[in-house]
Amino acid sequence: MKFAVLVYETAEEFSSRKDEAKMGAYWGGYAAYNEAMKMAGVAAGGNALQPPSLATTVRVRGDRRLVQDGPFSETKEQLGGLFVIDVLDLDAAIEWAAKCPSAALGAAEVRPILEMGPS
Amino acid sequence: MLQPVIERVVRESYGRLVAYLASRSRDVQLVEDALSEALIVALKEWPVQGVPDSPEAWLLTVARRRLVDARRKADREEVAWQGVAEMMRSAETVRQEGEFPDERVKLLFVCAHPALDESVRAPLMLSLLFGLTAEEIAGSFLVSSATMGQRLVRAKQRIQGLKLKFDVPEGDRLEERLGSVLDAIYVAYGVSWEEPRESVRGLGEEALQMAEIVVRMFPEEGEGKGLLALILYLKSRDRARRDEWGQYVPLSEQVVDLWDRELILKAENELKSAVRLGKLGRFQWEASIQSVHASRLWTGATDWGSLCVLYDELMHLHCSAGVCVGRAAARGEAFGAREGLRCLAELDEVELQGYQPYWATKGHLLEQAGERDEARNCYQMAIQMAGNEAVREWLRRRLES
Repeated sequence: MKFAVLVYETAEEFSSRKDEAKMGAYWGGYAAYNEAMKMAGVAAGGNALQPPSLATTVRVRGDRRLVQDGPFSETKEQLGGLFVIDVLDLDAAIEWAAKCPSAALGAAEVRPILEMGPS
Repeated sequence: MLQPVIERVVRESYGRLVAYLASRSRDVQLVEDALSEALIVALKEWPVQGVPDSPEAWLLTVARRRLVDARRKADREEVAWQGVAEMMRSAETVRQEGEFPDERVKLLFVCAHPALDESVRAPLMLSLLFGLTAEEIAGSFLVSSATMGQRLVRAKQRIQGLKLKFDVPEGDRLEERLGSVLDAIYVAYGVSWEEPRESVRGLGEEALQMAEIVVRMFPEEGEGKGLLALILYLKSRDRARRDEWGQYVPLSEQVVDLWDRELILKAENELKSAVRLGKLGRFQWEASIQSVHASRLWTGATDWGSLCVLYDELMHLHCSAGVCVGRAAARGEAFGAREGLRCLAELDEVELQGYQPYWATKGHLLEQAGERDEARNCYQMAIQMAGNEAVREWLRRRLES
């Protein structure tokens, strides 16, 4: 069963990506997490995202295109990336989410992937 | 002796240098840093070695070298490197010819990109094309230097992070993108009009230059010429807007001899050639309104009837607070104060609550209609909202009269 682990990060986490004193721990944490998923054979995709300061939100209303500088919602934690994992059930997915570095500072959200077509 | 030379080079060439370097490296922040380093080197070397024949090409060469060093250090991605490599090649041509292409129009499109917040577009243009600092711009946009600085940094980071293209949009998107460019240029002009400040060299001058860049690049776009005409009309009244004591003088009371005839004639020419292109838009209508006002120079009177017609047309296209209030004022002059007040009554007072010209106009119309007490209340409101002292003082005099 496939799940997305959505990585919600605080502003501090986003800034540690480039902070020389913290970037080692930050990237090391995700590299280890990624490696563990691969080793367990559950890794099924995913990507990291640039910070929300580079987000652009687009809405089309009638024939007007509304382009807005910034993320869809201004929340304390922002989407920083996502992993797709293929595991047995929700319990297993929650186990993996708990290991995600963002769970300790921001949050990790688990969502079942909606399988399209005949199953 | 040297300082003025460098200042002149910065004033005249800053935007061209940024545009040229940034359209190849895309990292405007890095480009600006490299340029300011080049200027520091110039301050050290030029007094000793003399000012080079082509100061612009000299600065370009030094800034480019800094840029390449910075790139090496930062070890950025391949794409950026290709840009630098291309820049190295084209820089050779620049050295030989002492000339480099004017690509400021690309910079204008980047500054007014839809992915950048509307509020930062005009400040960004003033910063990147003219080298104005956050401190110099902040006051005109009614924010602190720190806030303006943050906005500019964030916008520059987005330009680099989103890899916004330094080019001229084509096809369907051109009209919309050009519209954003023109809007931002008009905002840049507007802030200088609100608060003419001698200390910062006239911001209106920068807006005028930007409009000229657009017109040179798009001679077939009526709205570009319309905006240029509009700015020229407004600029032609620079000397008449304040009296000898620095007091505000409203348009209807301005001494026409103080208007700059040459600018008015230039504006007339631009507007005529814009209208001939056959694609009317907001700026051409706005310029037409200013053209009617300008003709007082020759006829000695203002044709309020024509202004009413033009305002009606403009309102269909661009229904802003300024246009609605301007229309009410024109109708008040043409058909009597009661008609002006009727137009104002049609507007949503809640939305216009914080709009100073609304209260000033309402006060004026009420005064003419003989409603002195109500007029006083409106002037009081307007005084509280007036952004600059000269206007406040003028309103106070109305209140006391």
